[in-house]
Amino acid sequence: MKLTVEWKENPSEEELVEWLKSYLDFGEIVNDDFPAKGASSWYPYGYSIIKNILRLASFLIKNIGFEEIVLPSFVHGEDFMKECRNIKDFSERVYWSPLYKEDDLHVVTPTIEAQLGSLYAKWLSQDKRLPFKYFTIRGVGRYETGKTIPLWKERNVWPFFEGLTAHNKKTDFTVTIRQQVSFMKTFFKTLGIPVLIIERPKISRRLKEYSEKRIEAITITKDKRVVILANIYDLGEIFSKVYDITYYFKNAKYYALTSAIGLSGRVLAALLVINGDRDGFVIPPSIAPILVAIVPIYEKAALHKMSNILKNYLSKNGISSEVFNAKSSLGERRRKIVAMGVPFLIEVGKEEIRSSMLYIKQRGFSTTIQTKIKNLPRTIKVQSKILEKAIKTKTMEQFNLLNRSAKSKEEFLHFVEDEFLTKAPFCDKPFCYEKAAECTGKEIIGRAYNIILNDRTKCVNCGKSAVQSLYFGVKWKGEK
Amino acid sequence: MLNIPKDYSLPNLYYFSSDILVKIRQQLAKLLPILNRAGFRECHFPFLIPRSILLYYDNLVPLKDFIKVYSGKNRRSHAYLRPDGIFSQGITLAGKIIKSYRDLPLKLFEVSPGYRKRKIENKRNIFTNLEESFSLQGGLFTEDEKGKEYCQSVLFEIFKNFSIRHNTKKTRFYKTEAIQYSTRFDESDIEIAKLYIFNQEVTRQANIYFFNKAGRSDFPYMYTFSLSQNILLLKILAEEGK
Repeated sequence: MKLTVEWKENPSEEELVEWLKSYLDFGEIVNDDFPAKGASSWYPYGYSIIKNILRLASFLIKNIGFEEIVLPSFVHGEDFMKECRNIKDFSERVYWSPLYKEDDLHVVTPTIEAQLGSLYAKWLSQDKRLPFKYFTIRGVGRYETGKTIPLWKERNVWPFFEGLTAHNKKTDFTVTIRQQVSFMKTFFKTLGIPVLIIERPKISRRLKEYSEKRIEAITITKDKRVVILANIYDLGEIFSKVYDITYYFKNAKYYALTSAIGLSGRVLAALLVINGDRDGFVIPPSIAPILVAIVPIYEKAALHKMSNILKNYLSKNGISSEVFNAKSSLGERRRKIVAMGVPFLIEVGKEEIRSSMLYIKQRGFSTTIQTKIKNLPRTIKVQSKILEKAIKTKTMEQFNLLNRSAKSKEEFLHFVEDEFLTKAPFCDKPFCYEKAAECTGKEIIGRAYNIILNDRTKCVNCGKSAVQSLYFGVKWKGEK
Repeated sequence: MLNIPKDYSLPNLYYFSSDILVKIRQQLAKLLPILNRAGFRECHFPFLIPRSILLYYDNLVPLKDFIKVYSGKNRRSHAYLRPDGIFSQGITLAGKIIKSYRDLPLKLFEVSPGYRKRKIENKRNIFTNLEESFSLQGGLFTEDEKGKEYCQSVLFEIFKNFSIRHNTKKTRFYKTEAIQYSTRFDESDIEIAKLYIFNQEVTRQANIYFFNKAGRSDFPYMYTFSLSQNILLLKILAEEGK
C-alpha cells in the first residue's frame, strides 16, 4: 500500500490533518471507515498505545487523591436539562434516547458534570462527607455538526478521561486545583509533549457561562496552530447551585465548590503529530506496545525460526517485540513498521544467523547499532533510554522554535505576523490587549498561569506597568 | 456482600464504585491472558452503530431490538447503540485489516459497554440491566469452518478458570447458527447470587454465533462470541461469599 500524502516541513493545517488521517490508518492507530461520522475503530496496536497513556494518567491522578468509578452511559434528560436551562444549552449537540418510553428521554452523556453532579447531591443527602474527588474513563457522545477528524474532533469520543471534585473548604479546593495543574505538567512531561499552562480568566465573556476560570494545557503543532490538550475548570458554585450540591455547617446551608478536569484521545493525536516525520509516526519507547520489530528478510523457515527465537529471548527479558512475517515484500514491511513508529527494527537474514551479529535501526534517527545476539536485551534497554531522551529533546527544540516571547511592540508585531505563539506583557486594561488582537487579527489564547512579572516589565501596547503575560496565536479550526 | 449502588435518579442504571471496579479488574486479569494466549488482540469500537452496519446481518436481527438514539433534541437523525452480544462493529475493521495486509485467521476482542433493550415495567437488577459496562465480545475471521471449535475452546477455558458449570444448547439465532451457554455456579454460590437474580438460578451468560461469511460472499467466515459482565459479578459474589 502506498500513501499519496506528501510530507512538508511547514505544512498548512489542512495538509497536517491529511497527513495525520492517512497515517492513523496505515500506522494502525485508528480506522475511520466505520460508516458513521466521527466514530473511529481502534486497531489493536493503537489501542495498546492509548491504554499505556491512560494507565499513566490514572496512576498520576490517583496520586493526588482521585478515585476511579464507572458511570453509566446515560444521564436522565431532566438532569441534563438542568445544565441546559441554567448554564449553557447544548441540547441540540447530544444524543437522546427513549430508553424505556418514548416520552421519557435519556441523554448519552456528553460530559461528567450533570451526571456526577446529580450523584454528588444524592451522596450529600445521604450524609456522605466532602470532599469528593472522582474520575472516570469512558466514551461520550457529542453530536458535532462540523467537520470531524479522527482522535481530534469526534462524535463518538473515546477515550474521554474526566474528573469532578467537590469541596466544603476553600483552601482544599485551591490545593486541588493546583494539584490538577501539577498532574497536567507531569503527565505531558512524561509523555514528551511540550505544553504551556495558561488560564483563561474572564477575558472572553462567553467563558462566564460555565466556569469561573479555565486552566488549559496547550501546545503548538508544525502548522503553527495552537491546540488545547487538557482542561481544568474552576466551576466555583455554578454547578452546585444547579444540582443542589450542598452541605450544612452550624445549621447554615452552603454550596460546595466544584472543579472539573478532562482530556481525551487528542493527547495521542498531538503526540503523533508533534513527533511524526515524512515516514509516519515516532512512538517514544516508554509507551510503545512493540519495542522491537523483527523482520525475516524473506520467506524461509530458518529465518522465521531465528526470528521467533529472538522474540522469545526478548520476551523473557521483559522486552515486547513482534515478528513481521514475510508475507509481503521486505520494502512494504519496512514501510509499515516505520509508519507505525516502532522504536527499533531488526532484520534477520542468513548473514545475521551466520555471524550472530544484529543491526538495530532506530526510528526517527539514522543511527544503526551493532550488537551480538546474546547482548540484545541489554542493548535494547540502554538504547531505549537514549532514544526516549533524543525524541524528547528534538520535540522540545521544535516547540521552542514555534513559540516566542516579545519584549517590545515591534517584536510582538513581528512574531505575531509570522504566526508564532507569542507571549507578551500587558497591563490590565482591556483596551490594550483587545486592540492588539484586533490589529494583528490573532486571538488571545490565554494568560500565562501563575507568572508574576517584575515591576520593570512594561505593557507592549501602552508602556505602562504590565501585570500579566498574554499569549497570542492561531488555534486549530473549530477550537473554542 | 457485593455492594453495587443503585442509580441515583435513573431507573435501571448503575454505577460501579472504585472498590467494585478493583474487583472487576481482578477478574478481568484472570480472563484476558486466556484470550491473549489464544491469539486474540484487544481493540475498541464505537458505541454508536448506524443502520447500515446492522444490515450487514442481512436483517438477521430486527432493528426494534436495538436501542435507538437521536441526534439532537429535535431528532434530526438516528443511530443505534451497540448490543451486548454481537461483535457487529468488528466487521468493518476486520475487513480493512484483512484486505490491507494481514493473514487469516484474524482474532479480535474488546471489553466495553454493551446495551440491551429492556422494558421499564419489568423489575430489573444489576444482572438484568440495560447496560453492561464490561461486556466482552470477540470475533474470529477464518477461511475455513473450524472457528466454532476454536471459539468454543476459548470459552471453555474461561469457564474452567472461573469454575463455571455450564450447559450447552444449540439453537438458531434468527437465521444464524448459535450456541448458547447457560452457566451456573456451585449450589452454595447460587444462594448468594439468588438474592440478585430473583431465583433465576440458570442464566444465559455466553454465546457463540456463526455468521456464514457475514452475509457477504467476499468475506471470510466469521465467528463471534460474547461473555456477559454477569460472569465477573457472579464470580466476585462467589469469592466474597466464601
